[in-house]
Amino acid sequence: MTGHRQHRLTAVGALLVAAGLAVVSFMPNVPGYEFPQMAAIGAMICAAILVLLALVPRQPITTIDEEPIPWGGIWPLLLILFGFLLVMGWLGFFATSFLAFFLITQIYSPQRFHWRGAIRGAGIAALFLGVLYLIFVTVLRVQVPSGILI
Amino acid sequence: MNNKRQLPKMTLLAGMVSGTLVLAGGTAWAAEDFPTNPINVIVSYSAGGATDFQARIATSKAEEYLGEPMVIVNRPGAGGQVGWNYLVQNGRDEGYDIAAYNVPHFIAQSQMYDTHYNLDNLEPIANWGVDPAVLIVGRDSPFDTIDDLVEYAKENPGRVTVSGAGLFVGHHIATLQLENEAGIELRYVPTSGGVDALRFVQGGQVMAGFNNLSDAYRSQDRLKILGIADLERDEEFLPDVPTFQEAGYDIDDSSVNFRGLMTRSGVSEEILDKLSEGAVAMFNDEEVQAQLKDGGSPMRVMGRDELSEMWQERHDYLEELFAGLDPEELEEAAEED
Amino acid sequence: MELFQYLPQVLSGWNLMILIVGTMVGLLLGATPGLSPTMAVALLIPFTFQMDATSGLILLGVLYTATVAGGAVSAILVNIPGAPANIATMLDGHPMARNGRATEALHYCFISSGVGGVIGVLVLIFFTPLLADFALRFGPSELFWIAILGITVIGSLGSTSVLKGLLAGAVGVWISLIGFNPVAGTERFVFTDHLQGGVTIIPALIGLFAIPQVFQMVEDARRGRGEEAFGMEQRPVWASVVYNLSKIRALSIGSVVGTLVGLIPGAGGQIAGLIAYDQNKKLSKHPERFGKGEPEGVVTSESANNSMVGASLVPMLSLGIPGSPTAAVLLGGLLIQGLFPGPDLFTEHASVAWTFMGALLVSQVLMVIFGLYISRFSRYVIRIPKHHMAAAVAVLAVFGTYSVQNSVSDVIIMMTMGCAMYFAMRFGFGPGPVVLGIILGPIAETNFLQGQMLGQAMDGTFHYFFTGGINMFLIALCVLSIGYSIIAELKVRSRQRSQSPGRTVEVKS
Repeated sequence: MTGHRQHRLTAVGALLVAAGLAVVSFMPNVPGYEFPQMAAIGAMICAAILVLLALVPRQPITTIDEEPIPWGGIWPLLLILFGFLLVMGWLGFFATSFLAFFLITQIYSPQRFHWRGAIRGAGIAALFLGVLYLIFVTVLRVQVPSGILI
Repeated sequence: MNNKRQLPKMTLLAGMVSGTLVLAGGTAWAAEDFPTNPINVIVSYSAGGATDFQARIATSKAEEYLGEPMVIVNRPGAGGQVGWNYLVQNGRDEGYDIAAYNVPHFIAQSQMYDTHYNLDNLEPIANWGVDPAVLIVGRDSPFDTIDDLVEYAKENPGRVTVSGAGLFVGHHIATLQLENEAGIELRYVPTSGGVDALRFVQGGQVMAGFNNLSDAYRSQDRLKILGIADLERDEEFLPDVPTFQEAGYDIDDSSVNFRGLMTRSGVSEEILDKLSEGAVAMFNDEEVQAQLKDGGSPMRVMGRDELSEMWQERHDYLEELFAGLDPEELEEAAEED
Repeated sequence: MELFQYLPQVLSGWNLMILIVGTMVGLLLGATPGLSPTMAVALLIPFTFQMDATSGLILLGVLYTATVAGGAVSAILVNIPGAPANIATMLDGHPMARNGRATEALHYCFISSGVGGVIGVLVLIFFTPLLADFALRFGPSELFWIAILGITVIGSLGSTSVLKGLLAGAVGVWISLIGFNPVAGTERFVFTDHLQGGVTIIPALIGLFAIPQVFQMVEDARRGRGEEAFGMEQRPVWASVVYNLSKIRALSIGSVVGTLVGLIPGAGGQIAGLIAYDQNKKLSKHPERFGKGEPEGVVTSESANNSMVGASLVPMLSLGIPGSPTAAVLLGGLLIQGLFPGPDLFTEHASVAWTFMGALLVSQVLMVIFGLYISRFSRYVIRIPKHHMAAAVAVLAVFGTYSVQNSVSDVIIMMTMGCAMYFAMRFGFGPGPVVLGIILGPIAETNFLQGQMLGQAMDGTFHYFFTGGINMFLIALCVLSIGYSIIAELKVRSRQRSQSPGRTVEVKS
């Protein structure tokens, strides 16, 4: 039954998002916004049908395809990705990538934390980024954000 | 992180990484040594366009003349605004961030839109190319002269469609000038680039178009070139095409598309001179000239002083042109939908 | 046949070497998740500047072929499409890999790519002058209808509910309209400076597909599912070749659709694979098998994807109009080698033109050989532990996004969209429709606005969009496509309702 409730919540949430788009698209009262308005209305219509199909019948007709969000597993990754953006400009792309790579492999490694494993992880991270550096920066001359490190 | 512990285990990699660190950290920023790093050239259009292609050829010999290569970075978007805004907002003032410009396009944009750049926070370096706008019609078009087109437009106001590479580029300005001079009403259809504008004329989607001389020259078999919006005929590429003035319409060279390099203000005078001298010598290189000519791009190399003067001249003229236009019409052009 | 006159030159010592190295490098770069083929071509083009014309052209041709084909590898093995064109490959290729048929899927991918690719190049060689005029007939109204036709494909894109797919597509269209509109001259929804350049396709594609995949992989790793990935079956190459070549309908639909879409300038060859996939699914006797590991899906989309390669060069070489983003990047390289688009290409610049075509043809063959060869190594890719794969993809996604335009804003857009997509996927929305919306939104809008201006100058907007042979044909296709989707949906629903009355019913699109 929780599945059904989540299904209904999704439909209502989708309607709210679509309504948000519509509000933003209709607010500026100048020409040039016709297409965004149409897209927003299209989204609204789809969301409205979704809500009708999910709320009105006692049993939902549309597929219940929602899954719960595994917050416990993903918040460290969210933090790492967010941190990546913040730190990249200051520290430089390769240094930040090394940290991100190392943290992701260590946090999500199926084995328990161990110094030996950490050193190995750092080695793999350095190897991967070293190859990336050699191919793209040395040979292909790609520019990456550089900060106080590389 | 326990960086110290890893070091012994992977001396090779660490050595490589720290080696590059030393390189990056030991860079001196003094003007005498300039340049010690590759120079980034921002091109505000997508790869493959006329500006991009010419910029790539024109800067190809940078290593020879400046000691460091020039790297083209495409930052397209918002009709060129994204790239030029980036230059003045995020570019370093050390001479390593420069951009390719299109006059009159970027000047007109800075006047018509709320851009971060304007003539005051940009510094010219050197000019390589000059590309006048030409009036073109399809191969099967009934128009054979400028007069034919003007006459038809007088009889059918607003029904003559004219394509060009975007809003407030040289093509648009030439269209506005022609409307003013001949007292006609044309319908300007902006496309997302010169190539698209040319396609519209070739495919008969529009009745006429203003386009770059170099691009029109290359597709002559599907086009008729009626007039050239410059002060003199182009003796080299199109000796038989009359200028608008010869045809009786007082249209000067304000819509001529100049291409060159510029940087943000704040770069020291010495570096600017160094860049400018190097660039002028590079554009005058025989091989570069030959390659650009093969591509149908007329050349005119200009240094800093001549260039500043030209910019200012265009700026003043455009201000006058936009002021003289019907404000309603302008609004329509800016918000055409 | 002039082609044969120049083939020995293409195949001689040093140039053969370039062909082989170019194929390998192109395949590997194209296959790297997070790096788009367009990007790979752009990176490698500077190498051709220093070469003599012949070698430079050969390298360009081989790079174009190999990178486009390589984009499918990451779609199949890691569930991240290299280019928008590979989305359709992913829909069936990845389920095949999950069922232990990764090698087989890669075999089909390269064989079909080769077949489609050769057809595309042959079209380029023999029909360029004829088709150039055809390509020119596509104006704003035609392109607008093509965009609408593309939108009707959304139903086939593998989300569980058509409604949610359409909703996601509409949101995608809306997102694509952020930024400056070059036709209207208006700046829309630029809430921060980062959005000034709008949301472009490559950052969106990488964000929407790669980032949720990173989340999925770390989740798997945490649950201990990281080490034992899906199994791998051995598959002899000859069996794949025989099976693949027997799929004549899938191959021909793919090649024809890919060629047609590739020919049309401005439509973006990006949607060739999706349209072909959709057509084949609709014509198939077992549409319900698609999306669950149906080999035909891979065959159609990859043959479409690669026949587009040759076809997209038709308008480019004859008119200077690139038919796909990768072709646009390639154009710069060709110009520098002295290959100027235009009608005199085959007369005045014959040696240059024929060398390039020869290289394209030979590289198709090499691509198949090396592709089939590297398919054996896919098991090593699959065996990489999930947490390492996740970290590598995250880093590559940032790298690949940044290096397209050297823009931090793009990286921020990519990350934001990726994280949002991960949560949206938990609520049953798929990334495919969003990307399709982002591709088609600007095409639809720009061409509609231009068409409107042209229509007003002539006989009215309505008249402009609803007359002309190509317009009517495209409109008919749109109506057919929508009608078919509705009927198929109703059929499935009524069948399932009769089977399980009163119960919660699964509706698969």
